[in-house]
Order: sequence, then C-alpha cells, then structure tokens
Amino acid sequence: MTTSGPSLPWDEATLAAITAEALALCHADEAEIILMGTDHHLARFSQGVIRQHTSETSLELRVRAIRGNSVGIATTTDLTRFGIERVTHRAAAMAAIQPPAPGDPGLATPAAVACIPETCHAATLHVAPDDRENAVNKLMAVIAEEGGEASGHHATEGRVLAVRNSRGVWAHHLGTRAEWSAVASIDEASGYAARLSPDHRTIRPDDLGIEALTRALAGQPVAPPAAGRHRVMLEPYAVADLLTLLAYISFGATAVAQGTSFLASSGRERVVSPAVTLRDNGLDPAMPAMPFDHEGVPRQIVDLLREGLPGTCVHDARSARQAGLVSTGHALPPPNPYGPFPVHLDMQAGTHDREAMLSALGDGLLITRFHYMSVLDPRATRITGLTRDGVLQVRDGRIVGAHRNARFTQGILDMLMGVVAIGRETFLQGSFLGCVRCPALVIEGLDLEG
Amino acid sequence: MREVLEWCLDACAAKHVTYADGRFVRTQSEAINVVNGDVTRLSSEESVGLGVRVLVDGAWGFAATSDLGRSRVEAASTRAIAIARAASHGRRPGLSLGPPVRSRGHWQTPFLVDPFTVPLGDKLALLCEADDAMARVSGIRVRQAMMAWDRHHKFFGNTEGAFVEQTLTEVACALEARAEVEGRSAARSYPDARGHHGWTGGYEHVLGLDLVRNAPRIAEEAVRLCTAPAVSPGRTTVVLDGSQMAIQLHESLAHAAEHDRILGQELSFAGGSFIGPEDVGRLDLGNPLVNVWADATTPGGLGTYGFDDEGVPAGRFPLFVAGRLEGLLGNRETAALAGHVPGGVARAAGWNRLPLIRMPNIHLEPGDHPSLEALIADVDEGIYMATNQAWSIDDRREDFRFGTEIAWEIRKGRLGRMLSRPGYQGRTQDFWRTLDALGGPETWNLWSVPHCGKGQPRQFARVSHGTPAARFRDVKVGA
Repeated sequence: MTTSGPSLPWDEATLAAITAEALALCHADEAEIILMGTDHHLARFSQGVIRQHTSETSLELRVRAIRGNSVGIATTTDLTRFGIERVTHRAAAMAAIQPPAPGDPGLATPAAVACIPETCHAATLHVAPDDRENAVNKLMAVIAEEGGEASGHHATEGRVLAVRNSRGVWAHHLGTRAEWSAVASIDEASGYAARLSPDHRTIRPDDLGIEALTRALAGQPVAPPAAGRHRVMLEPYAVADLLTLLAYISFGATAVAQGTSFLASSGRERVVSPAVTLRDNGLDPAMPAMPFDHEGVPRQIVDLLREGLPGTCVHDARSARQAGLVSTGHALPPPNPYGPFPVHLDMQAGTHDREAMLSALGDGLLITRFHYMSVLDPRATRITGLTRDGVLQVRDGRIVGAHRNARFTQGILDMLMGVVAIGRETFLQGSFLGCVRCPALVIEGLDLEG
Repeated sequence: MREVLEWCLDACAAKHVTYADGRFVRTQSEAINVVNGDVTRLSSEESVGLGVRVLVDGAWGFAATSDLGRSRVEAASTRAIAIARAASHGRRPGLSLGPPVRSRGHWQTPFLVDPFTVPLGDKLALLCEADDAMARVSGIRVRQAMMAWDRHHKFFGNTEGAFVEQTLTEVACALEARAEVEGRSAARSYPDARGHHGWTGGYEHVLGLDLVRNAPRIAEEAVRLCTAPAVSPGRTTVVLDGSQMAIQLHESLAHAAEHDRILGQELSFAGGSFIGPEDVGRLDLGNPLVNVWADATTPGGLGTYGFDDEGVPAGRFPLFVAGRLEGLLGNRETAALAGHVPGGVARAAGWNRLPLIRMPNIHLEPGDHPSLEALIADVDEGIYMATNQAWSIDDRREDFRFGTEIAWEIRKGRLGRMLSRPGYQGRTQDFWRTLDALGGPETWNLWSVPHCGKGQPRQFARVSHGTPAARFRDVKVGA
C-alpha cells in the first residue's frame, strides 16, 4: 500500500477486534463475519454549479450463522457491544428456524490471498472539499469556454473489507477508487467522458472536459440515422455498457445453472469474433483490485470469452458446490440471492490507434454510449436500448456531423461477432456491477430503428 | 433519537448556517427466498444512521454517519458545513427554500397484522407450499418464491422548527416460474414481475394474494408460452393490463414530470425530459382520458407516507388533467424557484443518502369501461398484453419500448390464442394520444415499481401506481 499518514477511520486492529468479537458471540455451529466500510465523498454538478456535495462514513457488520447446514444472515450498522450481540443472535435464530438443508453451506477454508501492491492511494483518500471543488471548476471552465454547459460527478472513496470465519479465515483489504463523469451540452448536442482509477491523481479533469466537449462540438444533431444495419465504431463507454450487461445476464453461475445464460447451451463453437477476449481480473492493481471475495476466497482471473470461444462463468462457494467445482472467488456480500458476478471486467486491447479505428470504420457511425438497455431474451443476449450523448456521422474516416439518438434491438453476441477492429487504448470505467476496462470497437452491424 | 438530532442541529446552528436538517433512520428488513425448494435467503438486516444536510451561502452540503456517538454526529455536521462552503465558492446567490417548514407530528403506516410478528416458520411454510404447487407442473425448470417485510423508523428535524417521527411498514411477495420446453424458455410471475410486489401495510396483503392457488396457473402459462407463437410485427390495437400500464405511466409521464430533470439538473445521469420549464398549463397531450395524480396518501401505496424527507406533509395534486400538464414533482428548492407549493416528494433511500425529487404514488384515473372484457369487446383485431417484463426509454422520456410476459390475440371482441414475446413501442406524446378507452374502477389496482433508480450514489425508491387496464389504437408491436 502507498498510504502514508492518516487513512480510513478503521485500521486493521479495529477490524480484527470487531470481527473476533462477533465470531465469539455467535452461538452457531459455524459462522462467517464480514465488515464492509466506506468513506465516500462526491460532488454532482450541472449548469455551472455543484448542486450536490455529499460525504458518507459507515461501517456495516454482516453475519452468516450456520446450524446444521442451514444458513441465517443478519446485518447491522450498530457496532456497539449490544449491537454486535443482537446481530449475531438474529443470524443464529434465522438459521435455527429452517428445515435441515442438504450439503455443505460453503464456508471458506484458509488459503493464500494474493498481495496486490498499490490498491490504496492516500491521494484518493484525502481529497479536501476545496480541492474537489477546484477540480470540478476546472472541468466546467473548459466546457464553458466553448459555450457549453457541464454536468457530471466526481467521487472518491476508500473501502474496507474484512472477512473472518470459524474455519480460520482472516482477510482484510483497503482500497481506493476515484471516479469522474462529464457531459458537455451545447444546445441539442452533447458529448460524454468518464474515467475510474484507484489513484485520484491519474485522472485529469480538464482532459475529460475536452474529450466530452469534442463530441459535443461535432455538430448539432439532425435527424436520427436511417433505420437499418450500420457499421459503427463504439467508444469504450458504449462497449462497457454492452459488456456489463452481457456479464450480468451470462457470466454468473446462477444464470448458467438456471439456463438463462448462453453458456448453458453453447458448446465449444465460436460465439463472438476471434478477436474478442474478455476476462474478469480482480488482481490487477490498475483496477480497483480486490484479492479476495466476500467469503474470503482468493480471487481467480477467469476467462469469460477467449479468442471468440465461450469461457467459464464465475462461482461463489455455494454455486461451485452445486456444480462440483471450486469457488473462483466471486461471492458478493450476503444476503445475496442472485449468486456470484464478475465485477472486474477486462477486455483485451487491440492494435489500432484512434485514427486507424476511424479509418477502419470508413463510412459509418460513431456511438458514444448507450442508455437504458433492457433484456428481451437473456439466452440470446437480445437487448433493446438507445444511444446517448453523441451519434456522430463518419465519412471516409472523418467526423462530418451528428445525428439524434436512435433505438437498437439486437443480440450482444451478434454485435461482438462482427468486430472489425479493436482500439489499443483502454478506458477504465465504473459500472453497476463494479468496473470495466475496455477499448473502442468497430463492428460490422448495429441494428438501428431510425 | 431526538437527542441525536439535537446534537446535529445544534452543531449546525452554532456555525450560523442558513438552514440545516437531520434525519435519523433505523431500517429493519427481513426476507425469505425459496428457489426450487431450497431456502437461498433467510435474512434480517438492520441499518441505523444519521444524515445531516446544510445550506451555506447558497450551496448544499450533506454528510452521513453510522457512528452515532456525540463526537461523530457533531463531526458529520462539521463535515457537511465544510463541503457546503467549498461548493458555495463563486455561487450565484439567491437559493430559496420558500416558506419555512415547521411540521410537527407522528405518522405510521396502518396495518392489520404486523408482518414482524408473524412467525418466520409460517411465512416459510407458505412460500414452500407455493413452490410445491409450481413443482407439480411438468416443464418448470426454475421456481422462485420470495417474501420481504421492512420497517423504517424515521426522525426528521430542521433549524426552522420541524420535528416529525414516522414509522413506515412494507410487505412484499412474488412468485416466478420459468419453464423450458423444446429448447425454448419462458417465465410467468404472480402477482407481478420484477420480484417484489409490495405495499405499505401488514401481512394481510400477503394473505390476500392466495399465492398457492395462483402458483400452478403461472407455471402452466409459462409452459404453454414456450410453444406459443410470437407476436407478429405490425401495427394493431393493444389492450394493456394494469401491471403494464403502471410501468408505462411510471416511465413516460411520471419521470418526465420531475422538476430536477426538467431544469437540466440530472442531465448527466438520470437524464432530462420532453417537458419544458414553462410547460405547466400549456403542454397538452391532446387526450381528455389522461388524468394523472400524484398521491402520497393512497392507502397501501409504496409511495405513501406522512411527511417527505424535507418534513413537508404528504399530499395529493394533479400532474395531468384531461391531458393538460397541471403540475410537477418538485422539492422545496424547485418549488420556490417556480413559485409552486412543494408537493412533499423529496425522499432519500436511507439515512446515508441525500433527499432527491422522487415520485410518490402516481395514478392514472380510471375510465368508464366496467371490465377488461368490455375493453376487449370493442376490438375487432388486436392483442392483449399482461405483466410487464422489459422496459426501455430514452433520456428525454420520449422513445420507449416495453415488453410483457404474456399476450393473447383478440379476434372479434374475444381473447384467442396465447402469444409469446410480446412487445410494443412508440413515442410518449403520440402514444398517449392513441389511448381511446380506460377500464373503470373495477379494473384499477395498485402495482409496484420496487427498484426505481436515480441519483449518485445510486438510490432505489419504491413506489406504487394505481392504473386501470387501457386500450390504445394503431400501436407498433413486435417480438
């Protein structure tokens, strides 16, 4: 860790003491204790001012109590002795009420956890309110200089996770993340930029402002693109939207077991372009890395798609037991009826720089990002959604104008089957599942409805 | 609790802030999930903390803490003031909250049977019985039964003299059967999809659903859907059930009427609106059947409470009257800006979240067709769609596409074959103009939207919509 000086309100000794106390107080056959803390600071801005400026410091205790093979779960933010006693009692009572359950409930056993350097950056932990305001003002000024209005957010967070169980597991981790998003609006035109990093200092807000502004300056949008299949270049934001939804519906063990994932019915045949490799990589310090999951199981790097072929799904202890496998270290915090998910998506970069990507596109559309995607058929990965913040017309590799937003309805795998070119630069972004690092793509066909 | 609020407000007052409010919230949530006969979740969650919001030199600051020791509470107040001061640099003065809010009182959700007193074993037995009933239908691959009950104990105080206490109680339950036949898969839910059909109130709502009797019906429908023909693309008359009308109303009109969206304050995330700031009293959907009300007083609604999270008393007011826009969903700040009376619709998802403009219950008034059959009787050729399954709409709330779990063709005024993969799409204002009949009060029910997302950090609100079945002409449909 690069942290120096003061860090989060909870140090290792505090985490160890609380989890040990809870474990001792839990009157069950076995138990797992999880502590999750956040020190989160955020500014949201629009129309030239910061409208929401928030700060949260909280620590939560989660208890999985096991009696026989039945599991009861209880949580609390009350970390007084009384609060800890009550939460452990509630968890044990929840376990006791159930009929006997089949199989091992899946507590982890001690295992070596990877040591990931530099996941906690003091600079990210200690952004003063005035510094945050200055950074936001810098971004807004860049956009205002060209007559645009900026909106977006800037957040920094320190997170702690500690896991202890009655089989001897003890793991704790401290990590940081800094996140920005920016929309530049000029009349009807808009552009977008966003980044995520464990280190606050690696993101330059004025660069993000310029990036968003460049898209907005491409021209006022005229009519939507004509209905039909278009050759498109998807910016990394649009690619991240697709990969996140694909991961949500396809790469969790529950979706495979229940038959709603394409992995449940695919063989070894190619499902996307051989140029596509996608993995879950929670061990890369450039991501907001996390060496173990919420059961204390070391994370594995999992190939989800490898050179166009289907890979494997991710597992927690329960799903792995049911499949006759071992956990890949992707458990989410309990209570979690949805099972495990990949939360560190990492798509392999290509070789094309931006100019080469636009050349590969030739005549087509440049799509910034997507909006409000909804799943129509999970097994076919068929979704519907809309474009947002920039649909730019490209002719002969040059941006020549802008369109209004349009709806698409198509399978994600179908889109990825037609990958023509992959950018060499990747962007790391936040997502509703966690984070995604991916490049831009040129794809043969996006079915727009006009 | 009152003492904790006083520590926080006293600390703010000592620093001479323009305004401050504090919310102490204790939320208890219990839930059971049964999947294919296995208990996959039996949980008891509790979250306790304080959120303090201050206004300093025209800028807001908000800080939250789960540590309720006096020094931590005062530190949260100090932090809120510091970040408000930082945000106030260079700010245009003049942010007003309108008339002071000095609400006093107590409100609690009425219920017949406290869900927290019903033995866990009884609830588990009910879900297992419903699961068994689905299991007896051949072709079902995944059965899910869930139940949840929550209690939110909230204290609110501000530097204007308000102090209110509320206890909100919610219950929810749902069944889902996913069938797999001949390589095709289909799901049916009861009483609604999205896994969480809820009310404010007591366990009486759960008992009133008759889960066990409905379980085999949805399982059989899921099996039949696997081999049912898909809806053919084209344009036709569509009759929508109340579940689908709820999401249609929620996405296309209710969100569009949120004042922060209209002012452009949510452009980067939630999005904007096709409604403009000057449209109240002017924008006309051109259809006298469109009468939409915001109502935080509806018994049983998930958007029902006594006071919002700014201490404003809950109320009922119109959004659309005979198709004309007559009101917006605003908080104290946007209401003061527009010269409106605040509607009491600022809500936060918990003690650690800032209150945002969140719709309360939004209802579409019923029409005069006494039954679903009466709506269908006038249709020579069309489709009846039921139970929302998919939803997508653009960031201005104009271009939508929705899907339902199930549909039936309509031929000469009667329901015909079952159809699978139903969907329809349109543009908001054009679509509402094609509404030509509404079911009467007999078809009007409360439906819930349990995971309405907005804000950063993300907040999920629960809300109900009272909607009748409705009929629309010349709608674009397809699978």
